[in-house]
Amino acid sequence: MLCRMKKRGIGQLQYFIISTVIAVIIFLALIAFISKSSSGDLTKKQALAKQIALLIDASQPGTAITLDKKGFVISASGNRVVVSSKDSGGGYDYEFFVTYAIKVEDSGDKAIIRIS
Amino acid sequence: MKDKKGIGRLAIWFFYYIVLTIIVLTIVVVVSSFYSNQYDTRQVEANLIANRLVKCITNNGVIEKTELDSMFTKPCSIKLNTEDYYAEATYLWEGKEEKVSFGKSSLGNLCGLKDKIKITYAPSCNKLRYYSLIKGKEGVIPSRMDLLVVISKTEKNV
Repeated sequence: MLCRMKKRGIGQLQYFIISTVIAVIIFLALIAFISKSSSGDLTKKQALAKQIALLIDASQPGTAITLDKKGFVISASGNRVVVSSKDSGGGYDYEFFVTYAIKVEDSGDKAIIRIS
Repeated sequence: MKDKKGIGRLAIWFFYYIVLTIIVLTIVVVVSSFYSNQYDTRQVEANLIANRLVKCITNNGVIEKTELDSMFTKPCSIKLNTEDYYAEATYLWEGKEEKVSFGKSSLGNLCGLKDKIKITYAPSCNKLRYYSLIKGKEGVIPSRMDLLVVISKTEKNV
C-alpha cells in the first residue's frame, strides 16, 4: 500500500516536473521572441530608410547629410535608399522623388550623403 | 476506477496545454502585429512635393499662368510615378475655376470616398491652399490655389 502511494507520488512529481520544464521553455522562447521583435532590425531599418528618403526629398543640391549608421549599411541605388544589416542580406528600401544624384560615403560609424 | 482517474488526469493536462497554447499564440499575435506596424510618412512627403511644385513655378511670389498650366509637366527636379501619385491644382482665374492634374485620377476619387466608407488601404490625401499672384495677359491677379496631393504607396506605409 505504502509502496503504491510512493509510486503514485513519484509519477505525479514526474508529470509536474515535465510540464513545468515545458512551460518554462515555452515562456523563455516567448520572451526571446518579444525582445527580438521589440529591438527588431526591420523597424529600425524602416525608420532609418524613411528618414533618409525624406531628408533627401527636403534637401537642395550641394547638401551633405552626416548621420549615424546605427550599425547598418546605407546605400542609394536609382531613386531608392536601401538600409541593410551587416550580417544578413535583407534590406529595407524606400523611394525618394527628387532627381538629384545621390552619393553615400562611409566614414566609420557615420554615413555622409551627398546630394548634387 | 484507475482508468477513470487516468482519463481525468489526461483531460487536465490536455486542458493545461490548450490554455498555454492560447496564451502564447495571443501574445505572439499581439506583439508581432504591434511591431510590424509601418510608419506612415506620406503626409510629410505630400507637403514636400507640394512645396517643391509651388516653389518651382513661383518667381518672386508671382506665378505665370502658362507655368501653372504646365506645372506637372515642367521638370522641377522631381520624378513621380503615375501609379502611386496623383496631384491636382485648382485655381481661380477670371472668376472661373481651372484645374490641372497629374497621375492616377482614381486615387483622387478615393479621397472623396474616404470619409463615407472605410477603406483599409486608403491613399493619403493632402490638401494645401496657397495664396499668390497669377500673371497672365490681363495682368497680375491675386488668386488662390488648392493643391491636392494623393499618395498611394500603401505597401510601405499602411
